[in-house]
Amino acid sequence: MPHFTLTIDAAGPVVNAGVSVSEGRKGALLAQNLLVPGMRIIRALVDTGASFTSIEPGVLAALNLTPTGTIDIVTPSTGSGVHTADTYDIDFLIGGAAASDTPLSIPNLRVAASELFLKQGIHALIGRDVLQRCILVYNGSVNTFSLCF
Amino acid sequence: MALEKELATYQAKLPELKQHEGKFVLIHGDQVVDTFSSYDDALKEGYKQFGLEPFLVKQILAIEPVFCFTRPIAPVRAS
Repeated sequence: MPHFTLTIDAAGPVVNAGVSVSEGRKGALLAQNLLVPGMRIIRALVDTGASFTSIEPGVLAALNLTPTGTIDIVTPSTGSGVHTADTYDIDFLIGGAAASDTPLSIPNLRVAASELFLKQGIHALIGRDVLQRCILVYNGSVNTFSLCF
Repeated sequence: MALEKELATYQAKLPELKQHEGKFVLIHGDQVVDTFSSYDDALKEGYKQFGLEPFLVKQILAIEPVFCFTRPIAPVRAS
């Protein structure tokens, strides 16, 4: 089973992730002779308190993405009310520390656009929609975490 | 807001779409294109038919799920 182990840093269990346009959108761009934006590398926090993966809108804007859906969200910053966020389809890649580590690749992942991560030094939250594909081991005693998939 | 028209179409057509609950509907403007067994299939057809034009892919559900975040975030809608 592919896996990788990383050190827990000050922000928590953070991984480097690659975000790129989905295959469908790539095909649509090429059909119109438009440039396909390259992959963006971001810092993403593994967050078991997030039920959906969310990404800073600036990252999505850099890929010239447009929304293909919406979801309803509740979060402490919006009080008890339900708020709506746009969702986007992306290809998502989570890598390990070593080049030899097999990355976790998720095509056509649906993610929500949400702000406030940058002040925390991260661009995204990896939610339980991604974690349901993995085994997550958080080993606080040696300050590491592992993802198996 | 982005997808305003498509979301209004979804709400208007929901009584008919409920017979396909659980499937994914593809909507372009006020046109319900088709329903699909998977998100990937609906997305693929959306890009194939409409390219970079706006389209909505939505799972048909009688009760909309609400996704919870314990960390404060600010949901964003495109204008």
